[in-house]
Amino acid sequence: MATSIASTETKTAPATQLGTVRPEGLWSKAGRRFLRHKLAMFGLAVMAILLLSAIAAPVLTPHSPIQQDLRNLRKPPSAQHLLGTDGLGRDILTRVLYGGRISLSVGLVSVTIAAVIGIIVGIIAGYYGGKTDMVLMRATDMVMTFPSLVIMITIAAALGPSIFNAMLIIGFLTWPAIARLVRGQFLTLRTQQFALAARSIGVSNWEIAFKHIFPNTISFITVAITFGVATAILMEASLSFLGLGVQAPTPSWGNMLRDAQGMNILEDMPWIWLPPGILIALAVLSINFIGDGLRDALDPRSYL
Amino acid sequence: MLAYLIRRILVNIPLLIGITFIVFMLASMMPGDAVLAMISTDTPVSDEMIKMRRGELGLDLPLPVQYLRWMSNVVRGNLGYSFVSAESVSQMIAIRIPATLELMGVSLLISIVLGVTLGAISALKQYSFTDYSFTIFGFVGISIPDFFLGLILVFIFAIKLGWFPTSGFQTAGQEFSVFDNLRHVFLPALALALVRTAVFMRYTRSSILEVLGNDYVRTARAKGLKETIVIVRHIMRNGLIPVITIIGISLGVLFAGSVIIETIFQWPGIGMMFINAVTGRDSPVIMGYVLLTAVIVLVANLVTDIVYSVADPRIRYE
Repeated sequence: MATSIASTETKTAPATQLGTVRPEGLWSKAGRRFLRHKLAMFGLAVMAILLLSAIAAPVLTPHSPIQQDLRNLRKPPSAQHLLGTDGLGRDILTRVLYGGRISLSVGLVSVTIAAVIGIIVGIIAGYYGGKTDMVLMRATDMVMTFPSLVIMITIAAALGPSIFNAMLIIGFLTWPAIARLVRGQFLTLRTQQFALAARSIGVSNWEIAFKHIFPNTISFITVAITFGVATAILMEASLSFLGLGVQAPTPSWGNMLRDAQGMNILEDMPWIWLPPGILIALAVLSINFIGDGLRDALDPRSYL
Repeated sequence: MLAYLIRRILVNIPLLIGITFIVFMLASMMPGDAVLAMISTDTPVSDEMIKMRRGELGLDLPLPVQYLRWMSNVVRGNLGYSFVSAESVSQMIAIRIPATLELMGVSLLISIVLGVTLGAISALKQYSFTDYSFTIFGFVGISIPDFFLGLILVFIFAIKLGWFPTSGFQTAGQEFSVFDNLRHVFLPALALALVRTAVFMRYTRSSILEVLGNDYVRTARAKGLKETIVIVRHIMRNGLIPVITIIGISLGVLFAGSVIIETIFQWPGIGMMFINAVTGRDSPVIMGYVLLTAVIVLVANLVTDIVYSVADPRIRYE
């Protein structure tokens, strides 16, 4: 008898302990999964270096990204100019660092614009459904029908090229992807029991949408936004490469590549056009790796 | 099926009207108009004269009326006339579109063959070294801007190695030959194909992985079929159906990509025409091009849906 009591005690002890220790939450679990993703860690490291060096550009280099130096035109890499100089005597390394500031901020700002519009449209369409949903989704289809680069070029030509227009145009053309994602999530989640339960105790529409359903979509939105930054950086690069984005003399990785359109620079001076191109690819690749890591970490279907 | 098809086409009509409206609004925002374009800067023209010409062309009418006039021309196939060369826009597009289609076709062919092959190998050898290297290659593929890749290809294969010409449609001053033309199309098509290859590869991989776990694959193996037959008849046939969709969707992206690639390689297609029009503020040409690409994307999506439903009899539209 005594032994049986002892045995039940030893059995319940760990159980009560389990009850006091909070089970690991979704986010910390996701965090651990993310940290184990090797490619994502590589991406995070590279992005950290790129971001820090862009922020610290004035400290890292003694040169000006804009000031021309006509005595040092198109000099190959040397101790004084680690990556050489461009057609106007400006230090390439300096311009690449400052260009990173521009390219990365265009990426971040335009994604923010896209995310705000996409989330709002997605929530309204997905929560209300019916006619509202149909009208909003037709608008989304319309934006998606245009090959984005073509319409971006057209708008840039109509509004006039500038860094702010580039941010606006990219933001206003990339929201449909996020809107569709949020809408899809809302359509499935709003009929689930927790949403119905909230409704049955009289929670307002607004509160159900934002307090109950929205938090469940954040993981998907995070992944979409991460990949969105990569897309936005590529789009800025394309626009600026065509001369319709960031304008000279302000450097961006895209407009620095414009120099390569001259045959002699392309042929004989790879130090002028290789660095910005490599940095675009490296930045976009790192962000894609991070996005992949986040997707693996946050996708509930991959929990086993 | 027919009812679905009709509904699907009808849905596109308001979409198309919306698109023409946006295109028109954009063009009307652009600086310059037909009259200003016709005036040469050498001979001064009085403001009165400009006003009169605008009146003759209907440019002083309210925008909605101008839109309707433009639309009534568009539906009759008249896209207006270039401000720069006074050529008919439909004519300009008709002359240049074969070059663009050739570039897109070759590029699509490269990316489908490469992408599907690599994706299938990747899936069949899941978690192997090959699979991992292909996956990394896929990431690199979607991360390199196509125009930068184009520059690198020109630098290596045209300038350093001299295997291919740097730009153009055919060697100048030579009689047209298919071989010469194909040598010219190869590098731009390759530059355009890389991103698509990476995308097709990833879709093929995941789609085939999904099929691999199915009972009918195990049954096929269990009844002693040769592995090649299992792969070709049972796995590939089913695994490649979803890839059709992604190929269809990519047509629009391919169009956009060809804009920059044609410019870099001086490929005389409608993409280069568009960029030149943007530089020259030639809004009728810009409008014509944007409208055309939008229509092509809509049609491509429609055709993709139809092909998909034919390829996969399980899909029924009621």
